[in-house]
Amino acid sequence: MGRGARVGLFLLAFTPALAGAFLVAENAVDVPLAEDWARAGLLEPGLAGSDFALAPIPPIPRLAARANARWFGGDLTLDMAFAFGLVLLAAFCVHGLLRRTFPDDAGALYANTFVANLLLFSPIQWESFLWSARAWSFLPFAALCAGLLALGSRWPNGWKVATGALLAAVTAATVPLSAFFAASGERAGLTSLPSLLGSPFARTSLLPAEDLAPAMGVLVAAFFVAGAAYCGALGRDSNLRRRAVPWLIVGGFSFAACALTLWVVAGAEDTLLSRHATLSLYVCLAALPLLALGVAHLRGRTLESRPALCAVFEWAPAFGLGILVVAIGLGWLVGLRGMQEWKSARLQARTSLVFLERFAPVHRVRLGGTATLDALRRAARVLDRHGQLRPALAGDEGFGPFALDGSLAAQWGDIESAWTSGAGLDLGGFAWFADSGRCADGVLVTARIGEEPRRVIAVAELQALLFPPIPDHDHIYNHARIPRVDERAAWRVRVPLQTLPQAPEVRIEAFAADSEALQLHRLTHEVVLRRTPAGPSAELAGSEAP
Amino acid sequence: MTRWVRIAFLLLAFSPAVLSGVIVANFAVEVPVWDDLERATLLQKWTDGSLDWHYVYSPHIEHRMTVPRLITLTSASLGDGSLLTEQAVVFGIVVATAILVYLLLRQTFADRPPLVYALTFVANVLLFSPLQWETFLYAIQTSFVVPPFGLCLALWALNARFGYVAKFAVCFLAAVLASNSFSHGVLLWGVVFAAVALQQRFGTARVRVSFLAAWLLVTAAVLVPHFTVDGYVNTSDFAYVEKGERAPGLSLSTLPDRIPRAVQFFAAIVGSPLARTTVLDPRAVAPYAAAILLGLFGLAAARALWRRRDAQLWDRWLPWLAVGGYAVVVSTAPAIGRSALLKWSYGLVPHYLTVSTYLLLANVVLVALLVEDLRERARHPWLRSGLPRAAALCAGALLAFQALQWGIGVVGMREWQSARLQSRTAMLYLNHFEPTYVRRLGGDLEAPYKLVNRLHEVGYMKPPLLPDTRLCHFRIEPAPLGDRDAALNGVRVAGANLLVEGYARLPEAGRRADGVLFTVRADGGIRVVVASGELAGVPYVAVSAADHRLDAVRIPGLAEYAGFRTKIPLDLGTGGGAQEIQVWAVDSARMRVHPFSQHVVVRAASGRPRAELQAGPGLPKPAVSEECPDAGR
Repeated sequence: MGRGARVGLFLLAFTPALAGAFLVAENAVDVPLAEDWARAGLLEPGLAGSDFALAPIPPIPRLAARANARWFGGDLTLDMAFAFGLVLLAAFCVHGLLRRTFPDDAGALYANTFVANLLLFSPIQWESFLWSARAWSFLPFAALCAGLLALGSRWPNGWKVATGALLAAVTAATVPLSAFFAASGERAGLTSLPSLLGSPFARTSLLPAEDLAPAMGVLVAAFFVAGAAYCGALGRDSNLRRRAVPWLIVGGFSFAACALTLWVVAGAEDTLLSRHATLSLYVCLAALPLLALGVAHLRGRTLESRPALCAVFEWAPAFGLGILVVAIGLGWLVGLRGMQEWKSARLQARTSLVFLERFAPVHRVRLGGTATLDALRRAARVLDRHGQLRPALAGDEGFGPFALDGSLAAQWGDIESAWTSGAGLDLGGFAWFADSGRCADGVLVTARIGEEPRRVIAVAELQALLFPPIPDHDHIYNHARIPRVDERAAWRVRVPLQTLPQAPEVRIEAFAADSEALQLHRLTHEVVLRRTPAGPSAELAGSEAP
Repeated sequence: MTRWVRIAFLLLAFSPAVLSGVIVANFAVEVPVWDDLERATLLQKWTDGSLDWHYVYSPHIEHRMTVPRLITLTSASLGDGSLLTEQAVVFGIVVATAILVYLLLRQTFADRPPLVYALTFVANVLLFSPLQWETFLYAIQTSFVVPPFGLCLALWALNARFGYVAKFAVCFLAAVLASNSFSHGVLLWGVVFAAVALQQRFGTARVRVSFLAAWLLVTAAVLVPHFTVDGYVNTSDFAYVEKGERAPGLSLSTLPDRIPRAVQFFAAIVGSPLARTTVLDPRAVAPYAAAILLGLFGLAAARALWRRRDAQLWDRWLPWLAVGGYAVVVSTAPAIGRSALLKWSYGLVPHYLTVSTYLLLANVVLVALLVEDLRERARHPWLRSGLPRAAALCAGALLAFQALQWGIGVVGMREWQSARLQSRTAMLYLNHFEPTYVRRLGGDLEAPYKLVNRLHEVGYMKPPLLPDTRLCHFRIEPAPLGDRDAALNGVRVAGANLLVEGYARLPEAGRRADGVLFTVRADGGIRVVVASGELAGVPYVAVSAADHRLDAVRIPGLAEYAGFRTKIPLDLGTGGGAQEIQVWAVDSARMRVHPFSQHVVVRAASGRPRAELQAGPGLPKPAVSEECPDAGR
């Protein structure tokens, strides 16, 4: 094969990295979530980081966070870029290892590299790629692959040992080992191992992922064990064993990492969390070269004795590869949706975060996991004081960093209901950005008396109904209910009447927030709240330009 | 390869048919949908002896559906005229088509049996895909599946070792069956002509000319009456034109204004077999899928033309070019005609897959032929070894993708079955309550009302319409459904009606309820139905809750999957005072009803009715006998 063809195949094999980079860049947002807030404890040691993290931040991530805070303003997207860099490093190391495994078979080399990259850059790991606190979870495997590459190189033995020791030390200093001791309560046992191993492939059908994951895990493990058994024991071929060793180590390490993870995973259902796929997909990645080696070895042995079987060995690996590529590809689609929903949730969290001092977030889980509102506010103040929150917390009753930018067409967003009940005003509606095909990043509700300036009186977050786009024609004879935009992008908020201006008539407006561009789009209708002796009443009124 | 190995491979190659048969049998139901109701007039004429050939041959919009009508009549005369029989016939015709595809593959790859079995397997995965739920579960689709069967029959006959008279006779039979089933069958007359004209080893020049001349004569003899008898005007109740009107056909006069929509419509039909995933919008995927399928087909056609001097090779390619070309042309016709009436995404409706699947199938075989040809002529060793591997990779990818399509198809079948069983509940009370979702039966209520009653009168409505509103026509289950399966979410008075919302699932059947019934106790103490409601839930989606724990999104639950909202007239006709309304989840497949664990109480307070939910099923078992003579049918 000529050099040009090799370069072409190399570039082709790394196209998943390009696609992955694009998706990560497209969906990464600088909004802290759960353990991300523990950085506030690094800036002001008096703040308890334990409100957010199970274990203290390990030394190297701690240093990195300090460096980021000092020189880059604590930009969380930098951590995400760093995480992607680690995966890229792992991908190059895997390619290097594959070159040693398949020195004479360019087809196997580039096919394996392509599939390995499909796995490594799969958006199915969206939580690992887009959650700053998880960025370091990519390091152990990158270090392992780099170490294996170094150990198999022609370097002097001293260099090899030093490199290996350094990588091991770095890895040990990034893994929150103390989390294993801090874990308490109900844990997922080893019986959940198949579910964890099968997690990256569990969403490729219409079966519930919980049901499919264990079966897929057993399948992946069986492929790895079969390949390992053949190459390691039955092959009786030292050359074969030597080429198989790196993959046995990678797979074994992944098995061990998965088994250890089960110690901190809260329950069997948690094994399906997107972030754990980062550990388990390496078993599949290691199984592939082992199987390829085994099949090539078997083909060599049966070449003369059984030509029919030899023909099967010719096409069967390619056939299996086709199945695998589609399975991983469907995982990419699920990951794509996961990334989009993640971004939408973070952007809505950003809207709430801006007004955190005045209003409790509707869905606190989007910001703080299980942290209390008080802990969140304290951490937000610390980051804000140090200029690490973008945008900063709103200081008054105005729109804060948001600027008005026209209105949203009524078909894409509106106030649909308004009524008073008890001591509150209930408002409901929907808001959808048709251009970008996503929910609004929250809705700001304002009150004004006459021509006085608007005051933000509530922040509504949207709770999108997750539903795949199904053309209504698919069920034209069934009258199945395909959720409309107003169901998919619904919002609802209750405003205490006592927090509203005490005037006979108050105009309530709502604005769809685009917290990426920091713009607000007014919703068509407004609500007129009237206070009469019979009690307050709310009424939807016609449109008005902002 | 020994005989037993061949048999084993053959069974394996046809295993998708067996699996699909099991799935279809599981979801098939005896409930008429839209055009199925046309059979009412046919069977009435058959029963009262007024049926004549004019009616059997009359156009259904622009289609002459003589063959499907004869199938209905045969089913009625030899059996009970069940819709299930006709659904079995649909499946049987597809099986026959699959066998013909296998025989065609044997002709194409005569010396490569393993490849024949492999391609037969792939073909059967495509032909029997549950994605075609609107074909397999819709009795009227006997009309849709006959033309592809006729096409394969004719192409097989033209390459078989028959005499030319026999070939002519089989082709004639195939074309007559096809063109008298649906309008896309008319194309078969042209396909046979072109296949004979283009086939390079079709006898001597004299034989070929004689065949073609005779074919033109019979084509004229069949098609002239086809387009002229009785003015070629519509006799269907379910048409976009009135009875007695001529169908607009392709509406070519308005085509220039809507070419982009027609092209999109065409792309939607052609790309539909590869457009569905669990995440992406099929409307966005279909044009790309269509471009790939048409590109591959164009590439194969160009290669075939390039190599046309190799007569043997050309004749092996020709049937598959005919199959693919047929699918392309047939897809073009509704794209041109229907784009005048409907939005382009209508091209994605599952029943068009019955045609467009054949382009995908033809492409699979053409790619195999292409790889075989390129491999034989390749100079580079890596190309010779790489091409079959690439083909195997594509085959693996296609089959893996088809596994997902089968899953989506099974969900589609489940939705279809659920909708039909709800229609059944609505139809049982058609003469007492208006159906909630009329479009499950027809475009408006007028035609279904008339035709359902007509079917009932001639004894072909199964189960028959209920004569009164007593609940006892169903088997009444004593134990209420648990809160996890059925609940009332709210009740309020809205004008002259009571609006009740809730959800209901049948735990044993594992599907949403086939409707809800609301009963009160009548004067005699027995329970009578005062309203019947249908459910409109979202189709099942596979989203893991763990995936979005930190995103706080809503994942459709039971309330979305099995929700209902029913209006009950407040004038219940049961006297004054507090009124208890009991709610029942219907299992219309087994004619049972299960009580909810809540009931509604309506009270008149200061002249204004007020409604509230109360725990417990309400209304204890009445003292009087509630038995109907025909209960629990």
